[in-house]
Amino acid sequence: MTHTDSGNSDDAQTVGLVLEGNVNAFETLLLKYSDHVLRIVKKHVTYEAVEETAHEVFVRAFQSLPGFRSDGNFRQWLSSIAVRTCYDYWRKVYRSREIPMSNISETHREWLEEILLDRSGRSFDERDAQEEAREVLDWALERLPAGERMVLELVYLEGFSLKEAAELLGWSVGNVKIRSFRARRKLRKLLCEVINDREGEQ
Amino acid sequence: MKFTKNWQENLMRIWRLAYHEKEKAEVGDQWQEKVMHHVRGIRHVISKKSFFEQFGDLLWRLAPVACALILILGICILKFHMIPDYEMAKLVANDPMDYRLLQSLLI
Repeated sequence: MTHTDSGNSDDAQTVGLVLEGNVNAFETLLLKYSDHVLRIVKKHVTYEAVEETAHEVFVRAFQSLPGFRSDGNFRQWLSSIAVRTCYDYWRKVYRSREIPMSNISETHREWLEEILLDRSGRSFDERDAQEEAREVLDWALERLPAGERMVLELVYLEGFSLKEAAELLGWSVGNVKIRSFRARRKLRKLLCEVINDREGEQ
Repeated sequence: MKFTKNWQENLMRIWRLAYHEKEKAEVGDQWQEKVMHHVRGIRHVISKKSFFEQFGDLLWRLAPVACALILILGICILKFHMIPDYEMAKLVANDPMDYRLLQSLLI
């Protein structure tokens, strides 16, 4: 039996205990997978919403335990719940527009232009450049619908294949492919507008 | 200024690095206690489903199949001009045994 197999059977046993009524056994799963869930959640939602979303992930996992197949991979199953919870977070945010949309500043435009001129390599290790990169990324992602945002993050920023992203989101591969294409097209359009505006000003 | 493929790749590479930086943000561990508190409060949710609840789940899963069957049967009836009552009566009337029985009853 490999290390992963024994890990899976341990998880299945713990799930069995929880389903038999030993709710405290869920704490074992919570402690074991907290870091894994946090790693996923931190990348997909805003910093302020990380704890709340991670909380929601484990509550959903607890409620869905009867549907967990004992021969399945608990880590993968939980990852899927985490990704879908992040997607639901963005859908909720976009519906209520709780977070105001940020604007792109002149510094960000300059930063984009530097990348365009391929001068970025010199400064990216510096903290400031990382900050700008993140801000411009957040600005661009904010302008995409929740589904396209998730696909772009999973496929282009995290490097998952279309099939893996589809499994995590619970969608078909075709659906992910279409959203990925749309996300890329919108992103391209957004960046073109920024660059063209700047050229127009100069 | 051209929006080249090289520029896109460069930007994506930088964004990828910035994106993975998000992982390093520090988060406290009090939320775990809150999760366990929450979970203890909803323990009844994971109790095994009753027969009626399971039947309800199955019913909803089969609902689209039932709808499709109704639709197909409806189209068939309309297409072949079938009138169920008339067809049934014709079937009984054509059956010699039933016909005799009908006659004996009428006499």
